[in-house]
Parts: sequence; structure tokens; C-alpha cells
Amino acid sequence: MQVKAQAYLEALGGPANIKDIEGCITRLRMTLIDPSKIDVRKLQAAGMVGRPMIIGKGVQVVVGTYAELIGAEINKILKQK
Amino acid sequence: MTRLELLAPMTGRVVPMEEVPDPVFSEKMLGDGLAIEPSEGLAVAPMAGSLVVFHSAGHAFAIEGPESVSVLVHLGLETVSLKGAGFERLAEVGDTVAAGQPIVKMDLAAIAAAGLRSISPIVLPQLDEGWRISKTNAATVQAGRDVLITIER
Repeated sequence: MQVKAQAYLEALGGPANIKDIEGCITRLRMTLIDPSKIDVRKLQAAGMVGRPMIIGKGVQVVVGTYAELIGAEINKILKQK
Repeated sequence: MTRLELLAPMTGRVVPMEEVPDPVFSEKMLGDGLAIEPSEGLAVAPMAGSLVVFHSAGHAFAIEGPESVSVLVHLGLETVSLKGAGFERLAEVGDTVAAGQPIVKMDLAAIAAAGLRSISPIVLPQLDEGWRISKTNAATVQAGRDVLITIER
């Protein structure tokens, strides 16, 4: 899960680009500083399903059924920085 | 041939996945399945297995059963926003559950009062190719009693 979290974090533009993020059950919901920094190919490689849904700075990425755990891991990594 | 039957986790009206007003489900991004518009709030395990996912907000759970088949039950739409309000947990992650065992109770009145939909998609995420899915033709199902989906390979 930590490896996945790291991969998603990088694909989303790194820790500095994330204002807040949380894992629903199927998707990561987040607010980004700059959504254009999203790397769709890297997201797909990390395991994203479909395409990211972007509404303004709010972004949702469908990741499967373990989104809550991935979101928690990303928040853990963010806190360490 | 292997055959697995998934029981209806909730009592209510059967709704095709395509009609669920959330693209993650209607476009089957995670997988195929059916939805139930519940008339009662209790959700039970659709099959025997291990409760591998149970969100802290209580609004969704997944059970991994035989042959690594897993099933996700998502109670209502956007219900994660309630942060657990309106959901009573009756099991916990890691529990071994029997088919029909109560997992969570959703307060239908509270969901409606919050302006949310209680329609509940039941998805077979990441189902291996080779499984044939057949869905019930029944208009309504009863939790823990009626078969909702059968898969075979």
C-alpha cells in the first residue's frame, strides 16, 4: 500500500501540489494546487481506473476498493515532510 | 465448473448498474454488478468470506470469498460525507463472515434527510476474465435470502 501511495503521490504532482486528500472507498478525492501537474500515464501505471475527474481544483481518481488505505498512506507520507 | 452465488445484501428493488447516478458505477469502472434501492436499512454479507474492507465511515464494505472473488457493497451514494452518521457497524475488518450475516445498518431516514440517495451498488471488482455473470430477473429481492448474482467458470 505504501508503494502504491508513493506512486500516486508522484503522479499527482508530488506532495507540494496537494492541498488535501482523502480516500473514499473507490476513489481518492483531493484538492490540488495545480491540477495540470497530474501525470495521467503515471496514474494509470499506479493502478487508476478510467480517467481522473477534474472539477476546478477538485480532483477524483478511481483506484479500486482500497482507496481509504491508499489515502491514509498518502496522508502519512505528507505528514512526514 | 465452479459456481458462486451472491445473495442480495439488502432488501429492496433491483436496479440495473447502468441506472446508478454515479459514473464510477454506471460506467462499470470497477466492475459489473447490480444495484438495490433498499426498502430496509440492514446490509448483510452476500457471500461467506473475509471482511477485507470496511470503510471507517461505515458506508461501504468488501468481502473476499472463495477463488479470490471479491464483492463490494456501497451503501448509498456520496454517503462517505456523513462520516459514519447514519451507519451502525455490526462487524469489523478481518472478521470471517457467513453469507447473510449482518454487516451494517443504514438509517434510511437519516440518509434521505441529508439529501443523499440510498441506492446501493453491489460490484464485483477486478473479476478475472473467464467468469460468466448472470443477474437476477427479479424486480425485488430480500436480503440474505434471494440470489442476486451468480458467477460461473
